[in-house]
Amino acid sequence: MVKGSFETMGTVMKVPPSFIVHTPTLRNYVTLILKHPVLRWTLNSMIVAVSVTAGSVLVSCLAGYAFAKKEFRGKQGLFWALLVTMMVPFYTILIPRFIWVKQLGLYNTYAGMILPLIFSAGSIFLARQYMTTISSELIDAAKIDGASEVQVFLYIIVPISKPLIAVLSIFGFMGNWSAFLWPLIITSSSSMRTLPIGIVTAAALPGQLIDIGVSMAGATLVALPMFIVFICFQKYFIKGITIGSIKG
Amino acid sequence: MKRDRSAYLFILPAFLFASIFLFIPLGQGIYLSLFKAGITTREFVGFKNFIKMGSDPLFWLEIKNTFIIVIGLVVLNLGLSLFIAVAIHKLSNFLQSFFRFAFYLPGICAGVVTSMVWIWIFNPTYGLLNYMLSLMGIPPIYWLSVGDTARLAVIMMVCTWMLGSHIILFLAALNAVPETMYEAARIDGANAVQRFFYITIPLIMPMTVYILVTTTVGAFQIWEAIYMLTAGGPAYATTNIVYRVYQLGFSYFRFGEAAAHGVLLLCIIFPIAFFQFRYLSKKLEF
Repeated sequence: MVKGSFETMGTVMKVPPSFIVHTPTLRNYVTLILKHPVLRWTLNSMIVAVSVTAGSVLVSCLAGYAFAKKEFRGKQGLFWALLVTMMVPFYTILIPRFIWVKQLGLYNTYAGMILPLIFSAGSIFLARQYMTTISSELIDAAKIDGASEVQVFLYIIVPISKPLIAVLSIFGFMGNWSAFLWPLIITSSSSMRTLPIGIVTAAALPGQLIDIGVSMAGATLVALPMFIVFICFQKYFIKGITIGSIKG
Repeated sequence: MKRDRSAYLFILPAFLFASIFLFIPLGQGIYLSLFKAGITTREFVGFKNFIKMGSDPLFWLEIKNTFIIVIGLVVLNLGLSLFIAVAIHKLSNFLQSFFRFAFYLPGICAGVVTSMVWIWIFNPTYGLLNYMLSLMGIPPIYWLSVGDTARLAVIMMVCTWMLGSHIILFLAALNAVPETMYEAARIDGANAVQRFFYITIPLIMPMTVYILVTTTVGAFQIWEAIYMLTAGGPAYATTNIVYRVYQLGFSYFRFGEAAAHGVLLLCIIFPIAFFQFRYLSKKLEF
């Protein structure tokens, strides 16, 4: 218990306590910002995290809706084909995907960082689970009133699925903001780095920090948006964690 | 049953992305594992990459490390999260939310952030951990420079990442146990220990299995923690399968062998994940 709370303290109080830096100072932040393109990294992280999340939520909701509410030939088989991808470890496809994306000419581009991460079988699965609870009568009624497929999706499915979209967006954003391995291998120039990678390459080697103060300042910058998201959307977190697990 | 052709348009984007960035690389990965491939060279060698693994001492070390980390992490994490959840679930709502928040916090930070904090904590001369140990009279430990403690360090750090969400899951399961069952048992004269083992444990079993399986699958794929803390060292003591995939691929550019290690990982993970799906999807929560 004591250890646990101590670790949490550790992550909260990232700016080093007194025995390293005796007076509180902004020096670390200034060093970091002056020496490294931190703003560019932050912008990159924002672009990547927001695009991947938006793309992923849209793609997942479209597919989830079709699998939940429509009948079509091959539905079971196609759904299973998507689910099976959840059982494939990321590291199995890491090397071939890297070579393939490079062949497609997307190495060191935003597209190369964003597009491969959009598909998420887990999100599609959750979207389908959620949308099966939407009443079919509602959809049929709208169709009788002359609503097109797109209208049904935009004006019925999307509003009803707001809690789902919130959970997918929050977890998607947090996951992609902190994504490390894929952006690390698919970018080469410093100006394309995302914030977590930039900070690590600037401030740490495996097992050692080049400058503790600067590392902690960087860590704080990476953590800041996540704290904001967490504090703003706390109520969705417990839902988000228990969703897709099992009934107790 | 009414068939709706528009459905194909709705699932098209998902299949497009899945095909380009998942199915094609997966196929290529299995294909590539049969080649001796570098940056420019590619020579068909059949199953040689797999046969070579058996005679490679590093391979057995990598397997050993992987399983030590998996077993250590699963035992530590499951034990701690159940213990903490049981300890706090009787507390008031306010205290419960406070502890949930406190334990979940490391989990929401990027792994990079907590790793950097932990590198500092593990530092042998000015790290907090050795400082705390020194208060108890324990001499400094060189956490990341000795194989056994480096593995322990990785396990401990990843444990804090996972702990919060598992406590939340256990709390959800514990809170779902009906109070009336405890009362009935109390009337029948069951003591607290008996109530725990004969009511609580059986009723939270499905959740325990769920957490066990997901932790296992996750523990096989620990990469970021190792990259940040030890880079696979010292002397390969923390190199697990996924770190080897990365190392072979991006340090040595031995793409064929890296792909073969990836296929091996697939063979381990697929059955576990398949079990998870077949047996647990019946009880899915939403």
